Amino acid sequence: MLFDSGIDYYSFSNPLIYLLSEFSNLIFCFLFIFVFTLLKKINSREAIFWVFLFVMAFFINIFINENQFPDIGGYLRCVRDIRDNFFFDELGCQIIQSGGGENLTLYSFKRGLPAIIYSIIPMPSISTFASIGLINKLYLFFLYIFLKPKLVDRKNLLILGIILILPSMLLYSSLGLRDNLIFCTQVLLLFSIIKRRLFFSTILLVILSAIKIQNGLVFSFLYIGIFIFQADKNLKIFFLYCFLVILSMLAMGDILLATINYFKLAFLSEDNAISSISSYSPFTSVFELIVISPLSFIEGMIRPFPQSISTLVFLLESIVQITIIFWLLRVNYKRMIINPQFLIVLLTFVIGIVLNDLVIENDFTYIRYKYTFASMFIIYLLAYKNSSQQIKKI
Amino acid sequence: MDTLIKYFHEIKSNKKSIIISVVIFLFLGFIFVINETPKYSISIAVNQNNEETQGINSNNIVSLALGQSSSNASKFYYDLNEALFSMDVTKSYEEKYNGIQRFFGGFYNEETKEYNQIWNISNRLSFIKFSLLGVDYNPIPNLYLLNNFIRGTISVSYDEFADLIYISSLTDSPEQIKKLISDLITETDNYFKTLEKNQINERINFLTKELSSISSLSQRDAISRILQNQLLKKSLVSTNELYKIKIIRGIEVSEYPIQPNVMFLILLFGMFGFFLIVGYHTFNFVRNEFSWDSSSD
Repeated sequence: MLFDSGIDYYSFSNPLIYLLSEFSNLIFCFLFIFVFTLLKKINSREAIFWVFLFVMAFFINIFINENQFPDIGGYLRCVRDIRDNFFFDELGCQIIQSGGGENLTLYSFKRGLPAIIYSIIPMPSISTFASIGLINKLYLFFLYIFLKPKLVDRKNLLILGIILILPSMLLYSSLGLRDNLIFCTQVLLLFSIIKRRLFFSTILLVILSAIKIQNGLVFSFLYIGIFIFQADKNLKIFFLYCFLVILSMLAMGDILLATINYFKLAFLSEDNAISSISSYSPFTSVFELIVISPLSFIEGMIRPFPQSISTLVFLLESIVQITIIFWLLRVNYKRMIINPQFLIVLLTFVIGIVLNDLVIENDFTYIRYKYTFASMFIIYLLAYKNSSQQIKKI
Repeated sequence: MDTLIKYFHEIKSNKKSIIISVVIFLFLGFIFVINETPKYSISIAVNQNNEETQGINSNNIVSLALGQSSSNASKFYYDLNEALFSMDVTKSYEEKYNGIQRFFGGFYNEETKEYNQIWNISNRLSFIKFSLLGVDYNPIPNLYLLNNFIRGTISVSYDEFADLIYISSLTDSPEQIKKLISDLITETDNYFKTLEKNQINERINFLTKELSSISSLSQRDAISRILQNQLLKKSLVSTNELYKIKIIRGIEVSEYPIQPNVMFLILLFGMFGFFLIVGYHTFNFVRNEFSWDSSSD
């Protein structure tokens, strides 16, 4: 809980302070692994694997600075704010604002809520970006503990292990950014909705929407489909639900297009990728969106296309993800395509990928948003595979 | 669960060593703090001069399309950042204020009339790296080093809520750095002036020609207003007044040093001492008691 109120953050340019702070945090994280090992929640191999992941998070953060991820400092400042005053003094933790003068001001918890969630972990020091990165890794560790009984089979755990060391997961779960919280919330929300836990699902959906409204909207499709329409029970109801969704999309076409175009423009503006207004081409009809969706999904699954070594690494990751998905689908293919629960989860995953692919031009921003959906879907397939194996045994 | 209880007993029985470790590290922290150099905070708040916000560019259009008003400082922040840390500004700063002598004078050799090489850890590592690449490395004070020094000493940040840009520094030589910031602001503004001077002259020539060739009264009125604006800019460019940078709040230096944070550093050392010894006892416990073959449920 220690931080220097006189300085924004310490970086590796102050090696002694950085190392004292982060070694303490690292030992604190190791103690968690140790306690869960003693409680027999994980075995010694898994403990070593997690020690490796925490050490990786420590090293990754040494090479990260605010120039690479401009929003990285915001979460740290909000966590410090709430630990200092138990209140957000800093405006950035409560509202979002762009431009100056008579600008657009909106209440937003996209920094505030993650800060509250991060504050729950009593990390000894929050003096560097790495501190929040290690908190993120701890949340991922807790998610692993939660998922483990649902996967049981050693092969499933091996695949989960592979997902955890894929570059995007390894990177974004080690940084002080909200993406890891989005991923953890999405996975918990998915399982909560499938198990029909209305109360928990509602809370998690509210949390997800507060942290990231786009993903909250995607999951609303699943939430409404299962809790209101019971679309996971019957194929007919599932198709009726899809039909109604398409109808409502057409009815609200203008709003939908305006929202998607808004986000597309906003992402271009944020990345400074828009050199002139002429390079921006908005979507003009809902039909256009529906028609290009399948292509956009395929493109979204493959992206980023190889342009440099770093994009090549992430392309390889995409190939690994696609291979794992196909391999898992192959096992239960015939049963899955007639299961409305699988179809509605698949559609949620497709909507998530398509939506992000349509609005995000920058490959590195896209990777950041894609992994939360791709990894979540693989985890669902693993759990599905496990439950269907258990049914077979019975 | 039994092992966990045993572990807590193990930690409890080593209470004394934990306290000793914390006390030793608190003492080390104290020694570290008294050897630290006190640092003062320096900052200045600036914005883009209002005269310069007129006219619309692609970024304004994007902002407006997103439902926002055109931002003043947010765009200017990037321009200022680039200009302030540019080699052009560093060069003009060196020419006018002799920056290398001011900050690296200690390395000047009166006998050879040249600067000596600077050999610190960073430069030694760079030397090894460039040797491997087969590139000659000569760490003498020059314009590049001065530019790196400026980048490392001064930071520029933008506050989106206040819509202001802050140029700040944390330093043990407040008077020297205060002067550096002030001089750099002048030089950066001169850099902007130089960039626009020729453009303004061209615009004035063009508008003057247009004015003499147009007979419509309303068009003449419109062009004369633009011309007036350009002439105003020209008059500003030609003076010593700041043209593009507007000082909102002048340079302020903290009365007392704000760094090091004594309490933070001593507690950080103490905390490290605590976790180090707990980690050590946990490691010993794992080595002695924990079976590596145990598996989870």
